[in-house]
Amino acid sequence: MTSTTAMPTAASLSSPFQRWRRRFLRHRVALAASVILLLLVVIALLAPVLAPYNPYQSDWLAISSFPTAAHWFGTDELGRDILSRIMYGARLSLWVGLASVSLGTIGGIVLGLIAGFKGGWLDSLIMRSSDVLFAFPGMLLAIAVVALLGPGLNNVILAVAIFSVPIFARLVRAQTLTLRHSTYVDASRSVGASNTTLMFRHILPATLPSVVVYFTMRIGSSILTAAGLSFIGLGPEPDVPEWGNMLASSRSLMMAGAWHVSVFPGMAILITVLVFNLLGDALRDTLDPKAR
Amino acid sequence: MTTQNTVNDSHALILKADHLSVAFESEQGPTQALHEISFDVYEGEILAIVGESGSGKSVTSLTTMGLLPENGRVTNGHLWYSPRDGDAIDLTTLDDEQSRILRGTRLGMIFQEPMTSLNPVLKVGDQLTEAARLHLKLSARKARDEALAMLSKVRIPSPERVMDEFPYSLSGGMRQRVMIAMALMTRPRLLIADEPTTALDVTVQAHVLEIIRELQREFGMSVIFITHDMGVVAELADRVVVMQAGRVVEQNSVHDIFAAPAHPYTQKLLAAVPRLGAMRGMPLPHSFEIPGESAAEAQASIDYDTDPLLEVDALEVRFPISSGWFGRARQEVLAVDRVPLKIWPGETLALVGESGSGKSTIGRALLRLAKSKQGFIQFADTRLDNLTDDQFRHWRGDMQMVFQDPYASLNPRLTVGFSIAEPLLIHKRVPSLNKAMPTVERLLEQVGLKAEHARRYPHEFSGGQRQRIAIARALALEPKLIVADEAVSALDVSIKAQVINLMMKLQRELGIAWLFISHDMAVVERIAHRVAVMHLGRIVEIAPREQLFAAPRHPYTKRLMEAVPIADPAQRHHRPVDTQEPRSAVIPRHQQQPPYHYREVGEQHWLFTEGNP
Repeated sequence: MTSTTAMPTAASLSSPFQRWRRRFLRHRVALAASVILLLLVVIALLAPVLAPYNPYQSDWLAISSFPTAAHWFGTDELGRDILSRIMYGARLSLWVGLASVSLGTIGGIVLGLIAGFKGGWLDSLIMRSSDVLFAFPGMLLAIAVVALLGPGLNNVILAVAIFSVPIFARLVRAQTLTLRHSTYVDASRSVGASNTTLMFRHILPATLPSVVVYFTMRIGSSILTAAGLSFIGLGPEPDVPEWGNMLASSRSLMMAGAWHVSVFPGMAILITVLVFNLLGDALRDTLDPKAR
Repeated sequence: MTTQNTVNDSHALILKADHLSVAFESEQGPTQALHEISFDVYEGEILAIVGESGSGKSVTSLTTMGLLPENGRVTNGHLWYSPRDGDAIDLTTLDDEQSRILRGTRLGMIFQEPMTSLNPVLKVGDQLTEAARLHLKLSARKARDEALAMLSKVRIPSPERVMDEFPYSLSGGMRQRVMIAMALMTRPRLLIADEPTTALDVTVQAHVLEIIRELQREFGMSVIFITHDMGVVAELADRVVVMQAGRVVEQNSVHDIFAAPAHPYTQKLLAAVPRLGAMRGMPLPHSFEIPGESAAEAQASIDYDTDPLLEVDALEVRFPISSGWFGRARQEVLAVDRVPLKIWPGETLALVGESGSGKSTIGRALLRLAKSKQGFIQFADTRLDNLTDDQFRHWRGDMQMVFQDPYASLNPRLTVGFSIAEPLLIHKRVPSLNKAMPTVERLLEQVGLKAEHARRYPHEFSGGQRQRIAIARALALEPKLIVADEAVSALDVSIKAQVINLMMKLQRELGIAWLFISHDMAVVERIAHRVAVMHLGRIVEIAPREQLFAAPRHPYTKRLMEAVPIADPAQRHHRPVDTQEPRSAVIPRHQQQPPYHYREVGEQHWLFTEGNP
C-alpha cells in the first residue's frame, strides 16, 4: 500500500504555535505594541532604579513646579516628582490589570467550560447569573463591591475581577457548546476519554486563542476601571502613587492652570490602555482560526 | 429506452478556452491553478468537466462567470464567448459591470451547496423574480408568472405555495430545483452547473439530473457540468474534459472516453469508479483492482452458524425537537425505530440509506455517542446496554469508529502521533507517550503512512492521509469491530478505492468486523458481506450482498438501486421524475409506533413486514 498524494513541503512543517509566531512577527502593529508594553514592564519592574526621586518625598523648593530640567514632568501640589510617581504607578496599574483579569479569566473559563459541557440546570444557573452581572454597568458593580468590602488595592482587584468573570464565561461557554459536538471530540470520546480529558485536553485549548485576545483587551479596560475607582477615592490611600490617585489630587491645580499634573498621568493611562487594545487586535488578527 | 444527446449539427461554438491560465496570490506566493487549458463548448451540448479536488475544475467555472476571488487573476490566454450576433467577446477582458450584465442575461450558474446558495431571508418568489425584473425588465406580475412556469418546469409540486416560502422550509432537493429555476429564469445560453448534485441523496440526484437534461433539450442551451462523479458523467454528458492539477489531460466524446480512455490518469480514474454490478457472480467482497498495486483479493467467508460478535435488538433512538427557549418538546424525530442487527466476527455489514434514514445514528448509538431510548446490545457475550457510562468505557477499546470528515476528526492542535497514542494512554496500555511511539509508528506503517509522520500536525496531510490516520487511531486498541460512518464519502475516487482496499486488507489480516455506513451503493457492493437497507429509521431489507443486488425485494431497495448513476454511457435510460417531497420521521412525543417484524425470504435474507408475526 502506498500513499500517492504529495507530501507536505518543509516550510509547512510546524506546530500551530510556530505558525502563529511567524504571523505575529510579521504583524507591524503587534511588534510596536509589544515593544511599548515591554518598555512599560521594564519601567515598572525597575522603577526603584530608574526613578530619579523617591515618589513619596516632597521637594519643598519646587511645589507645583512646571516641567524643568530637574523635574522632567514637573511636581505636584506637595512637590513630589511626577515622573517618579508615574513610574511607580506603572507597577500598580499593571499589577491591578494583570491580577484582576487573571482571576476573572480563570473563574470565567471554569464556569464557561462547566456550563457549556454539562448543560442543563447548571448551565442555566451560571448563564442567568452572568446575565444579572451583565445588566449592571461595570463601574457601578465595582463601586458596589468596593463599598461592600471597603477601599484598598486588593478589593479593587477583586471588584474588577468579578465583573470580568461573565465575559469569559460566556465566551468559553459558546465555544464549548460547538466544540462539544465536534467530530474530534466525539472521536476521543469513542476511544474512551473521560469528561475531564475532553474538557481540558481537547476543548479548553481550542478556546484559548479567543480567550487570549479578550484577556489582553480586558487588561486595558481593567486598568481604566481601577484608575477610575482610585479617582473617586475607592482605591489605595490617596498618597500612594497610583495614576487615578494622581489625577484625583491634580483636580484643584488643573483649574489653576498647572496642566502638567493631569496631562502626564492621563497620558500614562492612555498609552497603557491603547497598547493593550492594539495588542489585543493584533492577537485577534494573527490567531485567526480560519488560518489554521 | 436509451436517449442520446447529439451535438448540434451547426457545431456553432459558444465558448472557447484558449490556453487559459489562472493564478492565485497567497501568503506563500502565487499558485498556478490553471495551466494553459483549452476546450470548446458547442451550442446545445452538455460538456462535463471531470477531475478530483484541486484539479481546477471549479476555477474554470468561476473564471467563465467572472466570479474569481480578489486574489485570483488570469495570467495568460483567452476565454472567447460567441454571442448569437456580432463578434466573439474575450471574457477575461470584461470589467465588473460588463460581466455582471452577461451573467444576468446569457450565462447561468448552479452551485454545489443548495443549503447556502439561496438567500435565507428572502422568499423563494422574490429571489426567483429578481434577475428577470432586473435584466429582462419584466413587470412584477409578468416575472411572477414566468417564475411559476419555471417552478413547474423543474417539477416542484404546488409552485404557488413554494413561491411564498422561505428557503429553510424546503428540503435540499427542492432547493436545488429552485436554484435551477433561478438560473434558468433569464433563459441563459450557457448554464454552468458546479457539482450541483454532490450534496444530494442518490434518488434526489437522479431527479435533478433528469430535470437538467430535459430543460437543456427544451431550451437548446449549452451546459458545462462540473463533477467528480464518473457515473454522473456517463448519465448526462455529450463530451468530457478530464482535468488534473490544473491541466486538461484528455477531452473526447463521452462514448470514446468510457470505451477507450487514452490518458493514464483517465484510465486510473475510470478503474477506480465503483460500478454497480461489477461484482456480479462474486459472492465474497473483493478489493479494487488498482493499476500498479497488488492484485485484488477476496475476503474470507463468514460462518453464520457461529455466535455473532454483536447482537442488537429493538434499538430505538428519538431526538426531541424543542420549540423555543423554554418550550417543551412536543414532537420528536424517530431516528432509529426498534432496529435489530447482528454482526459476525470478521464480517462487513453495510448499512445503506439516504440522509436522515438513521443509519449514522445506529452507529453512534452503539458507541454511546447518541443516547438510545431502549435496545438490547450484546457484544461478545456481554450485555452492554445496561452498563453505566464508566463501565462502558472499558468496552470502548473493542468497538471503534472512523468518521466521515477527515478534516474534523483529528484535533488540529495535537500531533498525529499523540492522537493515535491517546487511546493507548487513556486505557493505560502504555505508561507514557514515549513508550507509545513504537506502537504508533507500527500503526502508521500499517495504514500505509510513514513512521516519521507521527511528529506532524493534521493540517500537513491530505484528506485521504487523514482518513488513514483516523483508521490507525481506531486500530490502536486492537478492536474487534469498527464503525465506519461514511468514512470514504468525502474522498476523491482514486483515494477512495485505496482507503477501501486498506480497510479490506485490515479485515483479512486482523479479522476486524466493519459496520460500514454509506449511501454509496457501488462502494457497498464492493466491500460488504451483507447489506442492510434503512428507510425512515427502520431496516427495510437485510440480505447477503450478492442476493440483495441481484434480486432486491423491498420497493425502497429497488428505488435506491434504480437511482444509482451507471458509469457506462451506453446504458443510459430515462427515469421518471418524482415530484414528492421526501417524508420525514417526525412524530408526536412518546407516540407508540405500530408493530412490525421481519419475514425470511431467503437464506439470511429478511424483509420488513408490517404487523405482528
